[in-house]
Amino acid sequence: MLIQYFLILLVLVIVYRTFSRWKQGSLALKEFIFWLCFWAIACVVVLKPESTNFVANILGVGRGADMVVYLSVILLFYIVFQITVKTEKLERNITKIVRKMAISEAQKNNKEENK
Amino acid sequence: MKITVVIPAFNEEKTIFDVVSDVKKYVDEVIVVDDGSSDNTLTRAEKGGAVVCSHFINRGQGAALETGKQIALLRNADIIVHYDADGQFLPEEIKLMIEPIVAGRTEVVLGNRFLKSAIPPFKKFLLGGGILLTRLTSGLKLGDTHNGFRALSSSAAQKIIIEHNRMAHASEILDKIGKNKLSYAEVPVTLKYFPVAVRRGQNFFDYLKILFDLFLGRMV
Repeated sequence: MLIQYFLILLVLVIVYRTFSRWKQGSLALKEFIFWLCFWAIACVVVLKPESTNFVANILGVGRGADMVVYLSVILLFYIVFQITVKTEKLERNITKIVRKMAISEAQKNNKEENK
Repeated sequence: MKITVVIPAFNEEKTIFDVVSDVKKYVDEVIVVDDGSSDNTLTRAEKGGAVVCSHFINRGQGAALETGKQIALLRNADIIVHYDADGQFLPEEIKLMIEPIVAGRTEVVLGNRFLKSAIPPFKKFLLGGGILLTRLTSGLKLGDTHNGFRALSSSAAQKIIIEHNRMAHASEILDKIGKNKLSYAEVPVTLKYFPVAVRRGQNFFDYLKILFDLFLGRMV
C-alpha cells in the first residue's frame, strides 16, 4: 500500500534526525536507543499491521489497528497534559523574574527620591 | 499603623488617577502595580500620588498583587488592602475593612458585596458555585468568594504567597487563609456595577478557566 511507503519514509527521516542529534551530543545514548527501538516497533506495525492483533486480542480490542489508534490518543493526551503543566511552571518562573525586576526598579527609584 | 493599599492595574489610564487620589485620602500609602500596560497607566498613577512599580510584561492580577504586597512589606506596611483599579469600590469603606484588624479581632478581612448591592441574577448563580466550592475546598464559610476588596495584617500577608498569576488567585488566597488557620471576617461593601465593569467582569468561560487553573496549580 502507498501509505506504507510514506510512513516508512517518514520514520527513516525521523530516525536520521534522531541519529544526528545523538552524534551532536544533544541526545544521550540511552535516549537514542529508546527512540531507535520505538521507531523500529513503529516500522513493524506499519509493514505488518496484523502483528498488533495479538496484543489487541489480549486487551480485548477487536483489531490491532484500532488499538494503535487508542493508545496513540491516550499518549497524546498525556503529552499535552505534561506540556500544559510545564508551561504553567514556566509562566510562574517568568513571573518571578518580572517581579524581581519590578521590585528592584521600584527600590532604585525610591532611593533616588530620598537623596 | 501604616495602612497601604495595593492596586494592580492593567490599561486603566482612564480611571487610575481618580482612584489613586480618592484612596489616598483614607490611607498612608498607595502602591500601584502597572501590569505591563500599553497605555499611560503608570504616569497617571504616579501623578495621582501613588508609589508605582511595573511589570514589563503582563503577568496577571494575581502576580501583580503579590508584587505589590512584597513592596508594601519592604516599606513596612502594617495592613495591606487589595483594591481594584476600575473604581468599583468606595474608598470611604476602606476604614470599615481595616477596622477589625486595627482592633486586633482578625487577621484577614474580606469584602462581601451580597450584603449590600444588587447583583445581576446570572452572576449571582455563578458566584453561588464559587461559594459552594470554597466551602468544600478551603473550609471557609463565606458569602462572597471572588471579591477583590480585601485587607490583611502584615503577618497574614507574609503567610499568603500568591502563586496563581491569573484570576484563580482569589480562590488561592481563601485556600491559604484556611491552610494557615488565619482568623477572618466578612465586611459588607458596596460594588458599583457600572456598564464598563459588567463588560469586564468574569463570564461563564472565565469561571471554567479559573477551575482549570486551580486544578493545574495542584499539578505544578
